Amino acid sequence: MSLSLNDKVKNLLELIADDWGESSPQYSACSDIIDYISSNNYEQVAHMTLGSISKVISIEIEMKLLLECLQYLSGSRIKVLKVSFELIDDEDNCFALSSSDVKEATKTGKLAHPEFGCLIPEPSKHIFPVYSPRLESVN
Amino acid sequence: MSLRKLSLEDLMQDKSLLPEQFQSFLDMATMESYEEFLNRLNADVDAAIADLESNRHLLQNDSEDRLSVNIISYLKAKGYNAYHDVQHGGHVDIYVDFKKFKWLGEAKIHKSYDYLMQGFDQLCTRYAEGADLNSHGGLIIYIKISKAADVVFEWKKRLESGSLDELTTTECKSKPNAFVSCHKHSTSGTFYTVRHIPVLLHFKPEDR
Repeated sequence: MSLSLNDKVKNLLELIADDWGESSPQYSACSDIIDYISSNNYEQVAHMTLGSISKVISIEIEMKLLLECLQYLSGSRIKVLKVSFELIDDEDNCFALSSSDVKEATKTGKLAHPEFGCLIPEPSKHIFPVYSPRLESVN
Repeated sequence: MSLRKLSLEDLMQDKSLLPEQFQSFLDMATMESYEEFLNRLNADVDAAIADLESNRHLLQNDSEDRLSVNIISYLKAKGYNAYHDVQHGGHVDIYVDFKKFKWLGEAKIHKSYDYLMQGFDQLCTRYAEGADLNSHGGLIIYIKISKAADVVFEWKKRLESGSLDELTTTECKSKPNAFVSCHKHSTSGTFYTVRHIPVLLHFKPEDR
């Protein structure tokens, strides 16, 4: 028998409380994120940026804590989010990047434009992490 | 925090983020190979151990299980699926997986070298099957006595004098005092690698 959405969310929050403690800022931030993605249609939350996620968190948090929570929620234990990366070029064109592209760009500082093949100067300024919900976890 | 789109460069420049935290985020988000998993996990296990060592004055009466739970909690927070005492051919002390990759750890408080050998044998012959994406494990040695380097030296010597099939040992590049052994696993017939990781818990201040 498959669990209802409410039961899935309840189970996730219990796990998060076990891991961080219910009074921790991590619990508060993670539960806000889960509440947001479970109460919206997939299309509305399929492309979340760090900025849009930080907007749904009700407490004031630093980037360090936001990234910590997103790493946790994207991991193998909770499996709520999937992280991917995209390149936005100077003309505002957007391209999905592979993990290998991102590793190469951050390691060597070199990234070829997916369409034109030319090297992109300072590629880290053009690479953006984006998050989508993992359907099996919350929808 | 600004709500505009944030690039990797913005993250690298963020003052609240240490370079290691940024690297951890990037490593976990882009992990594709078992080698990348091991490199990240080794760094995270070492960071968890550094936390334990810095609080060693509070841990003198802690059991193996209690000490290992601290490491597991650290790994859970990083996004690993990590468990204590989970059934995996027996009750393995530390079970970690991430995506399709797996790592097992056996933890012992050093009491005798036979006891360490028992832990090594449990890891290699009971818990680990030595399959492709589970071909590395760890022996975590909690050392509450002084001169941990001597303990590791003697343990390595005894391991090398045993009868493990095609055993080689090398220094661990990322952690002083740790070493790495590799031998042919009896189940898989392929090489199984164990990182032997000392945890320095001796605490005997002599200032009063």
